[in-house]
Amino acid sequence: MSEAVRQFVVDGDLVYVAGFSHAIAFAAGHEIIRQRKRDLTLCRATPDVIYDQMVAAGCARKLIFSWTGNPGLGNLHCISRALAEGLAFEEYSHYQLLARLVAGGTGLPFYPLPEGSGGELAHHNPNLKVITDPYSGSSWVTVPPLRPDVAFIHVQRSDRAGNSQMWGVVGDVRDAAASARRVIASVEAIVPDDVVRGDPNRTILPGFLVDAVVLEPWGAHPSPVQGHYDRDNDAYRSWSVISREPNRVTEFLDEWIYGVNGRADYVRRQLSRLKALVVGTRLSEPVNYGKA
Amino acid sequence: MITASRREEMLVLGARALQGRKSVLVGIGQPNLAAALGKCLYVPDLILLYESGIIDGGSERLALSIGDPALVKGAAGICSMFELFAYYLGGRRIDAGFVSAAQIGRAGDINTTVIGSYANPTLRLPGSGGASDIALLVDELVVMMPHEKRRFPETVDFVTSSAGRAMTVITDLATLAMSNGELVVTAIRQGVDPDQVRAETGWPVGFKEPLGSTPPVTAEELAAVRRLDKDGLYS
Repeated sequence: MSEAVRQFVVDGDLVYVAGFSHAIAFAAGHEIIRQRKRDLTLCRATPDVIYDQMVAAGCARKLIFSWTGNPGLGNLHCISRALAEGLAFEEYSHYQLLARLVAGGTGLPFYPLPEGSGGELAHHNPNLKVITDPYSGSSWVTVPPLRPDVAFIHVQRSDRAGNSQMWGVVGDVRDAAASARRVIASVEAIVPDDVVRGDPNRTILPGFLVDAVVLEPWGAHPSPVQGHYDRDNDAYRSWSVISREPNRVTEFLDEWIYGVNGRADYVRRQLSRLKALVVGTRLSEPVNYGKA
Repeated sequence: MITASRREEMLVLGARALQGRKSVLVGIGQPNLAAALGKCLYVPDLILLYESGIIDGGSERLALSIGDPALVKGAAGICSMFELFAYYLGGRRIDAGFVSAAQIGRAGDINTTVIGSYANPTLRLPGSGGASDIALLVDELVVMMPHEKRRFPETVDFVTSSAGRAMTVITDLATLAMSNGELVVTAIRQGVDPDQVRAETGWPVGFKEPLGSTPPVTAEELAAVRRLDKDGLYS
């Protein structure tokens, strides 16, 4: 991950760390903090704890989001403080932000959404405009395309060519990755080509869009990865307390980000805790692709 | 006899409000608990959808987030967020939305964005998420929230989701619905005085005549709510 971030993230980039509540590429975010990347525009539908930490570490010049909370636990306190102190931001509804990615990824000039989309955000976000449908004459709200400079995704497995397979909640992963100029996939496992090619419908992103694959077990902790580990609810609760006090945030960043030597070290230092999050096995019924 | 708390009663009423529906897009927090309760008690065929893209989610334990793996196991399907918002919401395939709110105003506008002005808020809330899209693209919205004066201002500080469709608001004191462009009280809880509802509402709220009363929570409903929420996650 260290090499991937060094090679593919440039100060000033628009970065999208993907994953909606599930499989959030935390290891990538922590490496960006460790390498002290600066002036990033951080985009995520749900900034979550990862962007709270990246904002606290001073990586962000601007935030683009559609829901900024610690799920089930209230506010993201570092982001709230930064916004109050003047951090630039653009706010959307989920549909608007996803539509921006889809427009960006498919080459559309804009994406139309129903009249009234986003409520009063239309008065505050100059990117929200109104057009007339040339066919019916009705009014639509438009959002402009969004193309992240670099997107980080975390998936269960990929092959050596980067063909990336994911199951469970897929959220914004494909839309963020397919619209980005560069994509880094961190994976719980790198598997033989036959495994991916034996079940091609499960591929969420083809390898030709992936610039680097990073084997990073536990790369999404404290978010969950379906079939690997559960959500570390204690870590989310604990961040909700720590993040209220800037001093404690600094201590956390020192201990768990600056003070660790990559994800493997992060895992080693809390192995017994993490082991309790490992989930059991529940296989799906295999499907028959047929044989010629 | 063990009686339900006002909060437990509110959850049960949220569950009852889902009767007669086919598909509901559910927000996280108390609506999720009430929706799970409604499915288990009244509408076993109810399709619950989550903005994470989970369709007819599993319920082996209560979810703490709408992307919780607990909702994935046993789900009928999982799609991308964009597919959910574009095809199922945008295509107007979902009957109702079930959400909570920080503020709701006389005209039925909902605020989950800021308290105070947008440029210089006294408190920044999480924002829309899918709420504004849900409110725009379902036929009816069910809102569940505590009945407090600061949450029921005449006009909200910020319109996250604008009014414009049928709406039922379920609180710990009363049930409200839209009538002639404003929210009016349609039922109050047993033992609640109408003056208490007036005192906790930021405008001279009207009462529908005749006013409905709320049938008491049954022992079965109470047992179900306590079983589902045994850890008090959303209390």
